[in-house]
Amino acid sequence: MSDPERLLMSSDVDPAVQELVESLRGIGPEEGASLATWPAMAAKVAALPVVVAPPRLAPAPPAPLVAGASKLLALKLVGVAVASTVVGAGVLWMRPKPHAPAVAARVTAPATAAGGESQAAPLDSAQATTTLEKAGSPNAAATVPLTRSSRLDAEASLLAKVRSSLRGGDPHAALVALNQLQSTFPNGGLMQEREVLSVEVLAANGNLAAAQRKASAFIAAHPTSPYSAKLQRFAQAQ
Amino acid sequence: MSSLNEIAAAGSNGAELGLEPLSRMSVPTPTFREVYLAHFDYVWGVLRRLGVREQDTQDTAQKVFLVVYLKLPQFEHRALLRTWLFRICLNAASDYRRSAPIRREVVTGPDEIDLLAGSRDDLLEHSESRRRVNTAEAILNKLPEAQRVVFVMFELEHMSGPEIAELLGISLGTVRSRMRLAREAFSREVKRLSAQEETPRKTASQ
Repeated sequence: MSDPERLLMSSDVDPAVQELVESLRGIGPEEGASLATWPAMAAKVAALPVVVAPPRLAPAPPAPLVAGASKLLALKLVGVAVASTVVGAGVLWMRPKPHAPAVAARVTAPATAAGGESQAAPLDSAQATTTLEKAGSPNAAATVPLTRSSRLDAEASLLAKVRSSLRGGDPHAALVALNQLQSTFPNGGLMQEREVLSVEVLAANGNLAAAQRKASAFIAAHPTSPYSAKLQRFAQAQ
Repeated sequence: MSSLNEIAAAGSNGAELGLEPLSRMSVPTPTFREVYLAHFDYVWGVLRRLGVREQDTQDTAQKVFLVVYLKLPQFEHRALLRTWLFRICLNAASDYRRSAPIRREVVTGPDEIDLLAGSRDDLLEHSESRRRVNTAEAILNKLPEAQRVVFVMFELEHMSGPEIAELLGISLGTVRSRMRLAREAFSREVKRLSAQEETPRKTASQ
């Protein structure tokens, strides 16, 4: 038995009912909401509680040798242990790495200061150390170990600073903040957002030619990005 | 975060839908950003249709996408991405409605819409389409939950009966029965509202 005809398709249904069903189907957010909310979403993802990585497989402790066992037997046991370790390591090496987002495999090891020196706890490869210049003392660069989440948070807040300066009618401050963003997070997680904003910042500072070039480069590099459509409209409007 | 775990634990992995796997070779798993940008509007709309108030939709959508972020690596294309997203929305909306303060505030009738909007004159100032959406949502909110979900899935998301049965873990007969009841209730409510609107007009014209 097939499905009944949908209310919207049926000619026997009260038009008032169809009108209301149609209106429900049309419910949606404001245009561009996905783009506008993406930085907040990215920051939220970065702030997810970290997952403690499983401890590394420690080498198997040497098998206790039975007193009186022959040297040959001992050698065989050692050989088997070594072979198992090699095979095990091989399997681990061959096992496809999960495509889990890198943030999910972070180690929860807060940096601790000892003896006046910043001494970070052991970090995995996903955790990076970013050098941030302390405000007011540009020559005294402080090395601050940032987890991926705090790094993304910091990047998102700098991005917000650029945007708010731009919206607040201060394109020069926006440019300064953008430069700071670019130098601090050259390969950040919000690069596309930064690039789109940089087009706006350049245009707001009167450098339309550079803005156009940047927009074209972005569209060429990311033809399927939703930002490209936005930049296309921007380029056409100029 | 516990509610997030509940939503995730309620079964948001596409593999659980038991549908035929699509060609895994030809369907690469999209990145989280791609999923977010491509499906944000869809998730937002589904949440609203499932009863999440407009002012709470952004937060609930973020919850949905946090689950998506966590589960995306396990998404195996056994179901369409949208079906998978819908399931997560379903759990998130259910979680949302379980919240007592929210449930108290859910708009359930046109009279309450008038109160929220201020006077009837204020309501009339709203655009016609906005008024229609409010009325339709009020009617949806009056439906029993089980009927509402089936109604939304069939009439608004255009899922098939067997697909709904599979996703909700109920029989096709139950799907059809709930759908029939939901349609009757929806139509009945529309008629009642129309009659209500007609009465003051007749009174005014006399």
